Amino acid sequence: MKNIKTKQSKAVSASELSQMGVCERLVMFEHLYGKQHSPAQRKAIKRGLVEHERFYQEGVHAMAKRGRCYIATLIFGQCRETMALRQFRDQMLRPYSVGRWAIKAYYRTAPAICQILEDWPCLQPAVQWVLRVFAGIVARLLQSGGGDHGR
Amino acid sequence: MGANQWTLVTWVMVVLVILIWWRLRIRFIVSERSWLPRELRDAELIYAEHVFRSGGDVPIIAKCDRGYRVKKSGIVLLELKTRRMNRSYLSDVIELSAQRFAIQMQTGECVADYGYVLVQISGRKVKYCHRVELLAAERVVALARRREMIINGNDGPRYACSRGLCAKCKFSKKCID
Repeated sequence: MKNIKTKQSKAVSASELSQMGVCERLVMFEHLYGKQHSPAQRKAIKRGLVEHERFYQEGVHAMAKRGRCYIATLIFGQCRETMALRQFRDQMLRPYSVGRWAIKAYYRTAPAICQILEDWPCLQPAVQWVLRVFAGIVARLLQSGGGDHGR
Repeated sequence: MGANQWTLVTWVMVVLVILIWWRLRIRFIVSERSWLPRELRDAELIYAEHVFRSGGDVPIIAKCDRGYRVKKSGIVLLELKTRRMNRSYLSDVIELSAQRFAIQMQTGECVADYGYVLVQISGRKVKYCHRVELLAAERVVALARRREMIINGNDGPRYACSRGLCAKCKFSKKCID
C-alpha cells in the first residue's frame, strides 16, 4: 500500500479498468503474460474496430450537418433562399413552442425527403419552385418585421 | 382508358408506394433515430472518439465513443459494443464511469450519472440502447487503486463470477494451477 502511495501511478485506460468487472484474475494474468486472445476473440475485436470506425464517421457526419437546413441546402446550396429559410426558422419558429415542435418534426422527416430527392432528381425542379416562392414570402415577411422592430 | 388499364395503373401505384415505404423503413432502421434514446435524438453531439485524461494520483485515460449535451442532465455518454448478446454488463458500467470521471476531471463539465450502452449484434445492422446507472467518482478511484494493488501483488484477485468466462479464457489452466 505504501509503495502505491509514494510513487506516481501509471495511467490506466477506461477499457483496462473495465476488465475488473469481468475477472480480477484475468487482469493479473494479462499484466503478467500480456493479452492472449483466441482466434474467435481476435476476429470479434477486428469486427468491433470496423464498427467503431463506422460509428465514428457517422458521428463526425452528424456533427458536421448540425444546424443545416437540409432540403434547402440540397436544392439551392448556400445562397439567399437558404439564408432566408434559416432566418425564418431561427427568428419566427424557434421562439414559440409550436415553432420548436415544427422544427423538430422537420428535422425528423427532412433526411428521408432529401434521400428521395437525391434518388429522383426529376422531382427537384418542382420542389425548387415551391421553396423559392416560399423563401420569397418569408424574406419579405422578415424584412417588414425587421423594419417594424427598427422603428 | 379502359377498366383494365385503370387496374394496371392502380397496381403500379400500389407497388410504387410499397417500394418507397420499404426503402424508407430500411433507412429508418439503419438510421440513428431508430436506436437513439428519445432524450438524445435532438441533443447536440459534442464528443466523438475524444480522449480525456484525468490528473491526480490515479490518472485515468478514457476514449469517449460519443458524448451528447442534454439541457437537463449535462453531458450524456454513449458507448458502442459489438457482441452476440443484446445486454449490458458491469464492465460497460465501469468503462462509462471511468469516462465520466476523466471528462469531469479534465473539463470540469457536468456529466450525467447515467449513460447508454449501445449494443450492435454482430452481423446485423440493428442496434439496441441500454440505459445504465454509473458509479460515483470515489468508486472509480477505489477500483483503480484495487487494480493497482492486484497487479503489484499487494492484494489477491477474485475469481470471475461466471463459469462461462473461464471456459473461453486463455489463462484457465494457469488460473486453476
